[in-house]
Amino acid sequence: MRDKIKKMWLLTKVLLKGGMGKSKMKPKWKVLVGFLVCLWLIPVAGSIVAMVAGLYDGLASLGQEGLLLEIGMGSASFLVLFFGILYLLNLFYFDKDIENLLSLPFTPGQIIGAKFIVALVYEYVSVSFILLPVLGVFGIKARMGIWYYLYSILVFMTMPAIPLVMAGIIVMIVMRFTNIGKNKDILKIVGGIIGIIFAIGLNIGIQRFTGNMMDPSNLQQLIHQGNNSLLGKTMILFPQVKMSNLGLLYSSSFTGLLWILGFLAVAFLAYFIFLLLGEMIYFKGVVGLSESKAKRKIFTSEALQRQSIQRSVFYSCFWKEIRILLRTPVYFLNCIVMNILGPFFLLIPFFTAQEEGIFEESVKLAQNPNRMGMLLGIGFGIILFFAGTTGIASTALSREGQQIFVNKMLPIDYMTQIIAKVASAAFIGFWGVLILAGIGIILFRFSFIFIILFMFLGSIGLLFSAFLGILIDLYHPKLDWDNEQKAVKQNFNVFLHMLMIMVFAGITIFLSIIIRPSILYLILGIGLVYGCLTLLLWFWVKQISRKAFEKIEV
Amino acid sequence: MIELKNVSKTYAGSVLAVDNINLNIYDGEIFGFLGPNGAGKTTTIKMITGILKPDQGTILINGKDIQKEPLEAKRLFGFVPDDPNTFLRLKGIEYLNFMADVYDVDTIVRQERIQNLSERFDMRSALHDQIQSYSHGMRQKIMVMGVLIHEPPVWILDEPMTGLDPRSSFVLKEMMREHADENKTVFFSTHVLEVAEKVCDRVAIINKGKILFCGNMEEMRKEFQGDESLEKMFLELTENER
Repeated sequence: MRDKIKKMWLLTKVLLKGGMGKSKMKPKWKVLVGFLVCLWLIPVAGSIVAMVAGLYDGLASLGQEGLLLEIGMGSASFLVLFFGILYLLNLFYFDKDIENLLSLPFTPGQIIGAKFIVALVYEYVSVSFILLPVLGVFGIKARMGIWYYLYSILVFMTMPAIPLVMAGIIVMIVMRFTNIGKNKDILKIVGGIIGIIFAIGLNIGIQRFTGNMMDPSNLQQLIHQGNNSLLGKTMILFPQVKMSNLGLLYSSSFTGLLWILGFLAVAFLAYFIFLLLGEMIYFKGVVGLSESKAKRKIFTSEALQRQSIQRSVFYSCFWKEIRILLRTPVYFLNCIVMNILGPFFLLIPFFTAQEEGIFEESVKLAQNPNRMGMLLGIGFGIILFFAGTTGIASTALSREGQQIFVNKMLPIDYMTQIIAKVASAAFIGFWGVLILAGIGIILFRFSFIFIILFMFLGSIGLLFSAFLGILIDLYHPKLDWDNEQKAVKQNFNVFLHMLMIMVFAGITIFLSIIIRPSILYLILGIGLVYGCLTLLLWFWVKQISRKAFEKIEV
Repeated sequence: MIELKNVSKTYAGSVLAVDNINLNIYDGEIFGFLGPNGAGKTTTIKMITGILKPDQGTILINGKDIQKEPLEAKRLFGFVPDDPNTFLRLKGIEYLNFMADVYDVDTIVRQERIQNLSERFDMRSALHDQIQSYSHGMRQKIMVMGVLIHEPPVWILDEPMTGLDPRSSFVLKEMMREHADENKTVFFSTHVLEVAEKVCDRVAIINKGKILFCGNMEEMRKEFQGDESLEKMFLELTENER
């Protein structure tokens, strides 16, 4: 047993080191990036703390301040579960190191146990945005003692483990039953999509569930009882949230210790069950997953004539990009699926809202001619937002990895290659625009002209986002990776691009709502501003493209 | 013809990978570039093909400077890298068509060449499948086919025999010879001496970034005293430099 754990720990250390990747950033660039992150972090952290403090005061006046901890930990748990599904799917099944690990004398439990800890470390970063302010604000405002802070550290370290275990179990079960047949790439994608849909379903379910729970008459009665009586009512899905809350609330007494010990026991038990399940089903899901389909069918002369037709270099480069994006499961799941499912996320509030008539109100708003300009501006902002999250353009060079030498060796003008990449990002982004347009027509009965204008402006937005993304990637592409996931998920360029695009999307939406321009002014405004910005970016990219490629030494 | 004049390359400011080398590879010859691991072979090839920029010196391919007229120069050669793991998600036929489009090979000519090459390398039944389903040798073969599809006047191959089965290896050597006989240039790197001994018209030996010897086999034997095997010579040559 001891030996087993020792080996798992050994593997964990190696995986953690490998996961960080080497940073080849120049100090100057690092400073700039650090500065940008701080610039973003300070107002974000400030506003989170202010919001949490406000929430505390509101709840405290009802005698329900304990609910703050519950809301904080409940939402952190949910966040971990939601993002954990995709992350673990990649980590457990599609990582390139899996093949090497399978040939080493590790048990399935050791492999997923070690990978799980790697995932947990990343989760700490994401949940700290919620947990640190919540735990801190509560501690200070409620004047908690030293034990509270000690327990807080324990809770912070352990809390994300349970939802992550749930995510791991879901992933393993899905993959156990989809790892059949021959076409592994498609199955990987199907497995991934099932995981995502499951997560969305869960989201809707929880929102409805907590919505019912919050039925006004029930709630009023509970609120009147005061004394933190609402605790434990909202988060039945994550029982450990209640335990850790009570532990923290009663941290000054013996009861608190008992709750914390119980909480830790539940976390370890969950991890243990997860390892046990892993021992049983992980190999069945992962072995043979990397086999690729090969028909080895004779290539007939007719097929040759049909498929071998001369095309332009641009056409060929463009389709090469699209094919690789569609056929590489990691790229498909990270860059394309979100683009397609994203628009549906926007509908979730309409389906989960408790108040009647929100939907009808929205349809009415969509028919109001005075609001067309504003709505078009908001629509444009939404397209920008989605374009910023996909990461197709901001990883366009990074995705080439060490094979980028091919791009340098072939007699294709660098600008042609770049434009093909920009076009592929805009093309896939346009699928999202079409889906948004479809939703707009079918559900909200927008006029046909509005939709055409929406698609026209959307195209400009997509090009703007794509040029900005590729510009970022040209400055320092992340080429030193050994698994595709590192190129798209653990790539700072994606984050930077998203950040910048969000600023643009935010300003556009904000101005549209404040100014409420007429549709003509809006089209002129957005068309001119973003058209000029896109041209400017195109010129910038053209200026630096050759130098950027020459600088790359692989 | 490939001409290298006073070419040097330093990595990370301090490691001198290629040290002021001069080489002329003429039309109609197969030229072997020999050296132990880490000698500077791949760096030299990467500079010739425009992947790396030399710190100093000029490289001409059939008279075109790879730095000053990169697109024109790149059109003149076909390069087979030592790592054939490229375009793995494309099907064999898609890759060949991509390469044909890049080098402007028209429809009729490409169809004919794909037909010939796939038969010669016994790859017909694999063209429908993604390259990632290929074995190492098959990947190597599809890379070679992709390069030959535009029949470049200069071939540059980095360790081309690695992973090839004897038959494919034989076919490749045969094609290299045919190519040279058509008065075109073949430049390839290897650390396998037997290959160089059997195939090359001339060789150069590089170690620690410097050219230690350049000439034909006869001259090499003369320089390194009579009958000793090339292997022994090779060891001797690089040993002294350590």
